[in-house]
Amino acid sequence: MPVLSCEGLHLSYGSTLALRGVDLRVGAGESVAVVGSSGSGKSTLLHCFAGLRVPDRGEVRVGGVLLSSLSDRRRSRLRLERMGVVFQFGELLPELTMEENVGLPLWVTGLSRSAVAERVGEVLDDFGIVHLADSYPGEVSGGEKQRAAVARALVHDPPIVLADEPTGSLDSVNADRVMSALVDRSCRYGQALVLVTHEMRFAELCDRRLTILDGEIALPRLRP
Amino acid sequence: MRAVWLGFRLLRPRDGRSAVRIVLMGMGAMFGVTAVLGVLSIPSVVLAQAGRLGAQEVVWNQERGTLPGYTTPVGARFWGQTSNRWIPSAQRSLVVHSVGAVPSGTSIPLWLDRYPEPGEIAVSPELAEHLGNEPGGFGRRFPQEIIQILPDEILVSPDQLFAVVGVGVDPLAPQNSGVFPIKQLGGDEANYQGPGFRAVRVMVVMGAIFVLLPMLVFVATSARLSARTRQRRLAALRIIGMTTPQAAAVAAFEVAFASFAGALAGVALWRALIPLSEKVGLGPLRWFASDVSVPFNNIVVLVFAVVLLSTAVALAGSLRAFSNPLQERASAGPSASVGLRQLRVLPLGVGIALLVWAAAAPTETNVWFMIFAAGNIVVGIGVYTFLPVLTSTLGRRLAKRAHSPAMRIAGRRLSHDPAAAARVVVGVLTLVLIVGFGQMLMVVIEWGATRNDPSLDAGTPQSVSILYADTDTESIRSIDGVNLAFPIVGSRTRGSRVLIASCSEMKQIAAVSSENCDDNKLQPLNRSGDSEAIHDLIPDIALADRFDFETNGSSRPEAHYRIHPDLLPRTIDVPHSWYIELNQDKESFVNTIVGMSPTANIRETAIHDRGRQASTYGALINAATIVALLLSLGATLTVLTDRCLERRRTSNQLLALGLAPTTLRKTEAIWITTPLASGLTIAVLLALFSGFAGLRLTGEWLAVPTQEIATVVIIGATCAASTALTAILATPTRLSHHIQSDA
Repeated sequence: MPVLSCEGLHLSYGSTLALRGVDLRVGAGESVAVVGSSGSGKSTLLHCFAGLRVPDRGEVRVGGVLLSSLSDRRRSRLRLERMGVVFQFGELLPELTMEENVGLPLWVTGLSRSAVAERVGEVLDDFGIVHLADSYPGEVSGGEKQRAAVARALVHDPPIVLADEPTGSLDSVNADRVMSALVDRSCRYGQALVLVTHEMRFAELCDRRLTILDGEIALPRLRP
Repeated sequence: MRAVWLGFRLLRPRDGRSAVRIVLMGMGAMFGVTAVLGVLSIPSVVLAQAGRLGAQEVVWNQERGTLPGYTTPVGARFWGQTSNRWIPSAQRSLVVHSVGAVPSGTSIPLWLDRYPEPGEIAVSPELAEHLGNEPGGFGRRFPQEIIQILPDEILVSPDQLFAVVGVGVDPLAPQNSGVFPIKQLGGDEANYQGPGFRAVRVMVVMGAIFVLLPMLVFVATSARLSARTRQRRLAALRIIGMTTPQAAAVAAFEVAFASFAGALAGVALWRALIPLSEKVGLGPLRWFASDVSVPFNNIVVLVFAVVLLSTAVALAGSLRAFSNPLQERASAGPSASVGLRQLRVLPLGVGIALLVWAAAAPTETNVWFMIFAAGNIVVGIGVYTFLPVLTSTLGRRLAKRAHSPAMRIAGRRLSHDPAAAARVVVGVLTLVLIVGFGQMLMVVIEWGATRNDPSLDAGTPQSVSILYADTDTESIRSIDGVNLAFPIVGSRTRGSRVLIASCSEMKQIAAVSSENCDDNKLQPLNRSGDSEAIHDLIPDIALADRFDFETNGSSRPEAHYRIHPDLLPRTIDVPHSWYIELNQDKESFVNTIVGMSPTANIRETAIHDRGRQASTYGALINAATIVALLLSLGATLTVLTDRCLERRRTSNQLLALGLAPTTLRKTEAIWITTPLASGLTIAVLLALFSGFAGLRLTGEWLAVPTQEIATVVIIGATCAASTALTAILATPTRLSHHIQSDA
């Protein structure tokens, strides 16, 4: 059974059709890259997967659970426990340290302070930013900040990771670092990864690559 | 609970800006609470002053009787007279109780050591100071020996002018009409309802209108500070999986904490201002600091109400982030439809129509007032709903006809998000509406005062009449500045009063007179009198033809007949009053005459109470205007600064593109002054129109409120200028490291 699927997704912004009957299934441990030109609807698809946007038609299932059947509260809970979401700009809270930012999902879930600290320490180490644990987002570079954002998305080992151009704001060196950390880790822990990106070199790191054109999946391609 | 902890954790400011934001939010609550506590203090002052006035009160015997040696009516103990006179130079009232013929054993009020004998006086501390400082002026009024400085406990305010003067029986005896039997000096019931309370009631209403409304705008505006930052934060929390209530708790905590701390600071500020308020007062109104209090329960309720209000406003401003965390990053969506825009114009149109109706259609007073009040309320709402439409329209036109990048960017920004600019300027517009209306109220009051107070025209001789003075005509005529002085005898109540003057004397005061003056007969003046009463007073004297005259002064003697002194019957040997025309300062004359005769009661023909109204209400309106101005302008500048800082990212992008810092500053200035200037123009016109409609009630259309219009326009221009200046100064024009790393 796919951990994430959608069927016949339609969504429009006013008179603009963003998604036109998108079908997709993502299995456990599978990584899928969604590419396409700007405005093609790839980010909208990701938002629908995350339950952040409700489609006009069609359905999204997470682990077999129909998202539209859930209340906002349960959708939030599902996102907290089963998904890790990362955007182009990390959206870290400037008032929290890097360590606190990364540990936020665990902490909100209800884990003890010591358990959170232990887990966050490991993840920060994995992402090479453990030395910045006590720094604030305003004090670190964009690449380090984005690595922390990815770390936050993965810290609670969610079965699904949704990444919307996570390297879009970074230089190539930092982009490579962030992307390899994201893909390697999701692969290592068997997480399903949906990666929205412009860059083909990152898309090719994934198991599958989908192209969205004017709200429709144009060319599904399996990785050799 | 974790959400609350996170909210608390997020309170720790990471940079100057977040600290400033929290401080500003707190300040909104602080000033709000201080202002409301000020208004809530009024009842305590009123109650305390009622008790103090009750203590001063003279309890008269209802039955008048006659003076000793003479028969004191049953229940009465002694005799006296009270005068309450407005002293223009001191800008307050002087209350004097004259007491005489007090038999030994009469109970003495607790605040009085003993009843003053003739030639003695007990005075309030402020009056004592005046007497000491002005021996030649105020001192002439009270040459008596001071036997006691009255205690604060019975004074209305620290600066009250109050005296108890001892007088003999003789000054009282001939003046039955002005002297009353007294049962008790110092009432024991704190239920005094004097004319001063009208001003206090007005103060409560004005406080509610002028202070509470801007305060609400201020608190609400402060609570919306950094709405974008908060929305971003909420969106981030929602994206990682926090539920709406959890995110709301996080968002609420910051505002609740800041407003709670601010509210407590507001209580402290209010307490700190209480002693100062005793010294400053409000125009002619003063009070004791010890009288100012608000019940503890009310303070608690107020603090929590402000916290709730701030939190509710902040959460309402973040609704978009709660319902859809992505909406902030998505486009703002299509602008309001034409139909919706027209709906937004509707309230303003209805409000103006109601005011036009109130101004034009004659109708019954209560109905008129309802129409007028409804018109003003709907106009206020209408300005709020209309402003985004106006801003959007102006923005489109500006962008279309732009000559510079600054105009184009500002125009596009206005048309894209008109509500943002509208929210910034609405506080000032509300203020101008209120101030404009208040200033028009001043027109009515000042016009009335001008019309009724001839002393405002320095070139005109002034007329006064004196009642119950124990003196003679020659003494009065010898006072400096007295042009003319004629005794008047007769009953004021029965309407037959006779001026005692010869034809030659009469012609001195008659600029235009008929030729038929007759010294051998009782002569009717051009006031109607009771002919039967005059025969009771002066029998068996033939009546001459009417004698018409105009005085040099501004009024005529309050008499109905004239008689030559030689014809006055011997039975009438003491005049009850005098008609006096002055060519000098009225106060100086009054001081002298009261010094000669403590029971003298001077009545100007001008209605000085209107001047008092103007002084009292004018001070109230001006004080309230200043408070409202500070609150509204403070709120506007605060939210504007916050807006500019929140646009740092955009500013950095534009700077990076190569735009000059001056262009950025101009953009911000144009962005804010376009809706502000046009909105202010509309608000000023509406305020003045509303004021004119208000004049309809009193019919005082003749007032030309040049000064008031100028005041409103100056306030509007000051608001616009300071807002534009703030926009220019608050615009970030340097690339910041923080934003660079952000991007």
